[in-house]
Amino acid sequence: MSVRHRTAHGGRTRLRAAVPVLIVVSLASLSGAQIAHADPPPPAQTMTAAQARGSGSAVNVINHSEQGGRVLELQLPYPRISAVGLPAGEQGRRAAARYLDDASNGAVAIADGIGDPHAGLLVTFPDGSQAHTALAGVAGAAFAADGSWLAAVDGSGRLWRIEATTGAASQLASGPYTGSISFTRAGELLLVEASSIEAPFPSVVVRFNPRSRRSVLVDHEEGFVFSAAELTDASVAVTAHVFGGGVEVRRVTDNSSERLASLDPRAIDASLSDDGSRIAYSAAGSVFLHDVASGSTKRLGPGEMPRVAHDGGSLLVLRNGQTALLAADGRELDQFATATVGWASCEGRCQP
Amino acid sequence: MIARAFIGLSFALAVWLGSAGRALATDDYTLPFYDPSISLSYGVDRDPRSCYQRDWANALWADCNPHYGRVYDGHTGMDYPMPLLSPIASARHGTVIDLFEGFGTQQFGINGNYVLVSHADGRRTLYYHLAQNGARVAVGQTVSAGQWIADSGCSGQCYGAHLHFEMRAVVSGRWTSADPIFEQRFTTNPGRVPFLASYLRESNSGTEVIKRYTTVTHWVEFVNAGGRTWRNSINVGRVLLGTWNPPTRDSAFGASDWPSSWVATNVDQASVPPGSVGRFTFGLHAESPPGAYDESFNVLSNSLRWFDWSRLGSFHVPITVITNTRFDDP
Repeated sequence: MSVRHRTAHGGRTRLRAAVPVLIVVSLASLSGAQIAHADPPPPAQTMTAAQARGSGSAVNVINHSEQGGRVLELQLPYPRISAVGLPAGEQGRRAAARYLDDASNGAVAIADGIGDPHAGLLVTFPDGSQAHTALAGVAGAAFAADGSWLAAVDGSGRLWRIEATTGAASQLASGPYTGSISFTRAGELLLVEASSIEAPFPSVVVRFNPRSRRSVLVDHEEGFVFSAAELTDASVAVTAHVFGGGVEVRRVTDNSSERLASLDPRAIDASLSDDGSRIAYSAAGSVFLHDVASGSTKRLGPGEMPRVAHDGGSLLVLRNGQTALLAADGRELDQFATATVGWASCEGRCQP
Repeated sequence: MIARAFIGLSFALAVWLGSAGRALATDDYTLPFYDPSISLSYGVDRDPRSCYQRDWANALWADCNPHYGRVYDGHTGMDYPMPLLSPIASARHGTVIDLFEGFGTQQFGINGNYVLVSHADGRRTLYYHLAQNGARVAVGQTVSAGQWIADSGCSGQCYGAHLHFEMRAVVSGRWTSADPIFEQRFTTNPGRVPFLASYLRESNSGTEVIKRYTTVTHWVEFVNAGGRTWRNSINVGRVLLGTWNPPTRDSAFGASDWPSSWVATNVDQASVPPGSVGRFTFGLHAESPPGAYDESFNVLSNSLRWFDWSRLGSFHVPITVITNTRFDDP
């Protein structure tokens, strides 16, 4: 296992803070990998397209070609969670399933009940067949490059390998990890490792090698990391609440850590374009788009959970349980009747 | 192998720390809420092993199932179910060092809102799952024990409105969850409201008849029905008798022994443990014209938080002021 020291944003060296964090991550990751066998795998089942239709669990995946790329709209059979009693803004988040990721072979991963510990992970294929894994409280999932398996984090923060066609699960590490999960181009997993899953901070970003099951620290800053994503230049964008202060997006490379942007202190759900030049986020019920080069921020109107297109030119926004496609200037380009809409993440390598 | 050794070491360390905590029991923190009806749903799991759970009473479960009222596996804090937007109190005097309040009050997800307070003993207390914009304090602000610092919510990984209260201490250079119940940092039983009282008796349960321009001495006794020891010092646990209806009202019957115009007295005894009786002795001085009056009082802790007046017995003193022929016209 190796760890790397970095220089914090602003050029200050923070070795005193870094040392204990590095130790924690090293041990925690090692222990997580070693005790992975302690938890029994969740059960899995598969269904043919006919069985899925017959059981009422078929998912209709509609492809839309939009400004900014291909948009997947998922039409789901029924909500898993009762929306009764939930505030309006939360109904869209929780009452429906959630699109997680798609693979180059057309498979789509769905968490079929946010906040439902009895729900699980659903993979639906272009032919209508499905694989379901009873992974309680799925927090996030990402397909491996070849689409043959997924890495998924459950509600307890454990990391699992899920075989796409069978749904069979095997534990990779016990974490706990938060729901921010993605594959790097090198085939490693980018994860946020937390001290506790119920109160997940301090937290750090790690690269996890699924073959060796070893973690390498990406950024030593101790904070409340919301998410991490690899940018086109192979640097990592880390969105975190800065201890005692606001919300920042940092660009972390092998040799440096620089601040890309300071966001509203209440900013949540930050989403970056592939090159990190544009950052969308929501705060207090509004959606904002920040341009890194100019440092300007534009309010695009009400909404939440913005998801920026790969090129940063448009974004999907949740509004009253439906999804709107907005241009970078806030104009509404399209509307979708459901909340389960997302950018195809296999853009550029998807099968037609 | 290394990992097994690490887990074993962590477990031994946790047990040792727990033992040390018992030896150092200080009763220096208060529960982080005011509502007497709130009780603990899950406490800290003091066993670091997966699917082994040890609660504050040293009860051990070798399973992964949650045990309501006691503990669930891997839990690092204490959960107190309470309605949304319930007031949350600082557990000790300290400084707010961090907070986040951007998530929705009931926004489910991994991350939620919180306030983090640093204390003079080197520990930190975390108040989690708070409401959106639910912090009533700012970073850098000094807060007192029992001060209202936030409103509760259900943000983050929350399956029902509750407060996740966590105490953190540095162990071997790392912030580690501590168990204040096991360490006896609260005198209270789990979930027992810290400050609660019930009326027992008073020096004169009828009407105090006071000759105008004179002072009579009155005392009242309450049973300490809460979980914390009452004290008459200025530290955590100080309990006072103040005017009520409305609170902090300047009294027309304040005597020279009153600490202030609305505080009749501190509790008489230096220490009143839970279950014991505290007496409050104070003077009532009549300057008002002859007539019938009624003076209401309530007990409060740390000069900040009033007790539940109805549970207290709605304590009030009927007063009749009579003419003092020495000074007044008959």
